[in-house]
Amino acid sequence: MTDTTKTEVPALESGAGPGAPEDWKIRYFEPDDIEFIDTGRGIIHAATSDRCWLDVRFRWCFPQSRPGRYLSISTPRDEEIGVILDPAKLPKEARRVCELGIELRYFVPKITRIRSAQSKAGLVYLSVETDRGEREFAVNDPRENVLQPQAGRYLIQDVHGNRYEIENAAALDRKSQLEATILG
Amino acid sequence: MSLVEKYPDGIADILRERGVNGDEFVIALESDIGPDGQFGKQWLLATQERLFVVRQDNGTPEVAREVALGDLSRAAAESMVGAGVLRIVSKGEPEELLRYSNARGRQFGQAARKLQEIITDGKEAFHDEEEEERVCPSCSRPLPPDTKVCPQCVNRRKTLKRLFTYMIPYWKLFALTIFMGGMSMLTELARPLVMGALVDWVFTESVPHDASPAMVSLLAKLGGQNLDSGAGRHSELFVPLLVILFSFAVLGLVNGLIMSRITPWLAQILTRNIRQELYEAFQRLGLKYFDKKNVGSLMTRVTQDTQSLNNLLSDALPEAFWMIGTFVIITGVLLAMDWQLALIGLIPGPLVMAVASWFFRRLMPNFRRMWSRWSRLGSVVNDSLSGIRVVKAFAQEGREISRFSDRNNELFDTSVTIERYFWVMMPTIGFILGAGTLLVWYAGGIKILENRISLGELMAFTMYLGQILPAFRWIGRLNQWITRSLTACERIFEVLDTTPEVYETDTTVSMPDIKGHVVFDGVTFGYDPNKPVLKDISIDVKPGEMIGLVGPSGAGKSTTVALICRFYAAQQGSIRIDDVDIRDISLHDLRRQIGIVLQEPFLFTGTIAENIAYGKPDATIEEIMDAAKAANAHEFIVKFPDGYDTQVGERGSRLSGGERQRVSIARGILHNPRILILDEATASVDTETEKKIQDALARLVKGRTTFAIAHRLSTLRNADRLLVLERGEQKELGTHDELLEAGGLYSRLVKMQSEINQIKAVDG
Repeated sequence: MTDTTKTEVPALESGAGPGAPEDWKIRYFEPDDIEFIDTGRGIIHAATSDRCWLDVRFRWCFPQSRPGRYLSISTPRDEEIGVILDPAKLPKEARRVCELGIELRYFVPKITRIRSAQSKAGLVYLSVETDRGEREFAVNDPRENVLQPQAGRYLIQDVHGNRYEIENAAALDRKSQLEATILG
Repeated sequence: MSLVEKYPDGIADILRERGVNGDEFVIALESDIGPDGQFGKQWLLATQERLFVVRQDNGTPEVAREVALGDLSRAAAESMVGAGVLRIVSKGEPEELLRYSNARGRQFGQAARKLQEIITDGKEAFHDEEEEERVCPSCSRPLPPDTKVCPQCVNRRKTLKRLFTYMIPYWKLFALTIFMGGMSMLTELARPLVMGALVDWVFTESVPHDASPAMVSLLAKLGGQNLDSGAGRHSELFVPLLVILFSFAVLGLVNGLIMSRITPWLAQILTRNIRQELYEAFQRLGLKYFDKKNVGSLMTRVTQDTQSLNNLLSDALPEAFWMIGTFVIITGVLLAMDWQLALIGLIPGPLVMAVASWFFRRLMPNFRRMWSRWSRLGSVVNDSLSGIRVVKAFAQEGREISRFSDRNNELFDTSVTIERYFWVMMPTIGFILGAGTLLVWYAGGIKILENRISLGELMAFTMYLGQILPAFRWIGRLNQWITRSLTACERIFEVLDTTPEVYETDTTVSMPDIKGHVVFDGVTFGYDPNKPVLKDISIDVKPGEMIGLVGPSGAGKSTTVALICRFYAAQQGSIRIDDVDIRDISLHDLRRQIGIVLQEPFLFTGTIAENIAYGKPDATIEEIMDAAKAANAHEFIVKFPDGYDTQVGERGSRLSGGERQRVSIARGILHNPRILILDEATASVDTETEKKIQDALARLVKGRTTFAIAHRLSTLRNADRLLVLERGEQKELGTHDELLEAGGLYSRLVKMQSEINQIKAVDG
């Protein structure tokens, strides 16, 4: 187990209250306000100068419209500790642990090639290559389950609730672009 | 659902080395995400004592983690975005064990609960879910929502066979349709032969190269002379042949007229019958069936699926019959006429099919894209016009125009793409067909010059080709068309085959006069058996007693009353009414004597009188008005221009919330139930209306066993006793005064509400 505790931290409080000065206000963290501890077992703790939290969760506030910004940190009981405005400005180690936490929460393979797409009775069956490997899945009613936040960018949810992303359809090969037409 | 899946032999071997035999496993599940976060494999295996995570990175299995279950204090499956994670707390330390995609989420959720059961020595009992897998058992592909019909695996023959059983009562008409279709086909087939004869025997002096004796004899009869010599023009055949052609046209017309009366009627009668059967099946299904189904998708079955069925019967099947019949017969005729010319003439067929298929492969996704974009455009218009007051209030007209413009442009792009494909496809196919015909004229022309065939024969030949070649465009599509319709058909049959709610069995006890003595005896229930929402509830309610159900949201209040209605059955314990287990009571008798008044009363489209009399259709006018009077509804009803004949609109939308509520109370009073359920009956009305409703309810509850749910505790002041629930557990039971004195949850809730009321009073 690797423990990369950077500073001596006060006593840990598992799932304790969020600790913001006023609970109805969002606490915004500047890059140096918060530190993270990677236990090496998929569990991350967080610490500020006055308090620590065990096993914290990471969530993007605007994963589609403001990717990479506004990262919410919360306890296992879903009580928000605060929001990091710009995680890219965190110190290197904190950023690494943060990215690990984000990776643990978000599993959204990026589609790099569409091998085939076939529509049958309202379901679209896709066979794709992603940055996480090959996959076959089915999408129900693309009008409901395929979003296009920007031109050429597709966010796809399959019948199981798994998510996939085409970052830029124009950058795919010609056949994949043709198959992507089925997504709407 | 089994938690022990088949695992590779290699894994069994390495675990055997650690003293674990395969038959000890209570969990053996494969995850589809590897330890590196890529799609891959790793295994979770557990016995009653130990848990293993096995990885198989490069073919060789390796135990990545071994934990003694005795060290575990918790195991839980947590949902992430697009995946899930199995977490444990071992020796007080939390850790992530492995990850899996949502496709495996249910299995690992079950596994976590199984582990938790072992850890807690059975205190947190694990119930195997009855819910079926959401993948097709035949092809393992995901199933569409709300159905078990896999579009990939529809058994077309079986479905068609079942569909034909619906045709049996109308078999004579079907036989007539097939006969008429056959006649029509023969007429179409004979026409080119007659035209060929017209050219050969009347317009030209040439003698058909190999005119059959039968043809010669037929023509001789028509012309009234001996045609053996065959030489020269036979003008005497001119009129008879034209008469034959005209008779074909008349026959075609008569045939068409008869078919136009029979075919649509047959298709519609079958669709009507199946639609009726489908709706009746919906009405007979238990509430559990509807819990996990989307109303929209069920409506689709009644509307779109039956429409698909209609398309199949009125278009696809006759089209297929016609196309296949024509194709087989004409190909045979062409080969018989001149096999060499036939092969040359059929060359464009596969070419047309290939080209059409190439275009359709590109057109269909674009069509779907266009429908999708139409739908998005419609949403923008709907949003904007429905919310036009908000748009204007925020002065956002420009923004709305811009949104519409974006959608409009998207639609334009797709429409142009589709049009372009069509503009290229049609001339291309036209060219192939034209070139094919030219080829036949060329080869046939040589044969004419060599006197091997006649001009008339060549003309008949090209006419036959003209009949079948264009069909090649649609042959490829026909299969897809029929499959789509049969899938819809199969979805309908799926509903028809679902077991309906059983109202009566051999052991059913008839209870026409329930007294209202209700006993809950250690009742535990969960919609998902693994997550009980009611735990060990026990209460003895005397006839005529009013019980208030109190507790925070999610405490289990509505579930309690749902069990009294027998919408669901308790998994543990029992509910008895007048000392008879509720499961043994005739459902018809039970529900007839239970009345429900809901927070959002549901009124059906129709008049106020019809809605009040919904539970008692034979009620007299006086009974309806008396019930309305008792419900404090009569006064407002008679103020309407149409009084009791006022149409309430869809879901009662033309009445206010308080009015709808009082109509529903009147409905309840007229129904005259022995057991009454009030579910937040006064939650969404103003104070004055609430007073009227309270008065109406006071009359309604008199003498009936009543279960009342209310967040506003003041509305339960008339309750004889209060049952306080929290997270499905029975916390307190007693009178208002007893519970206040006890100082428990009820007392805290009362205090909290009184503080809120004070704040509201201060705010005015």
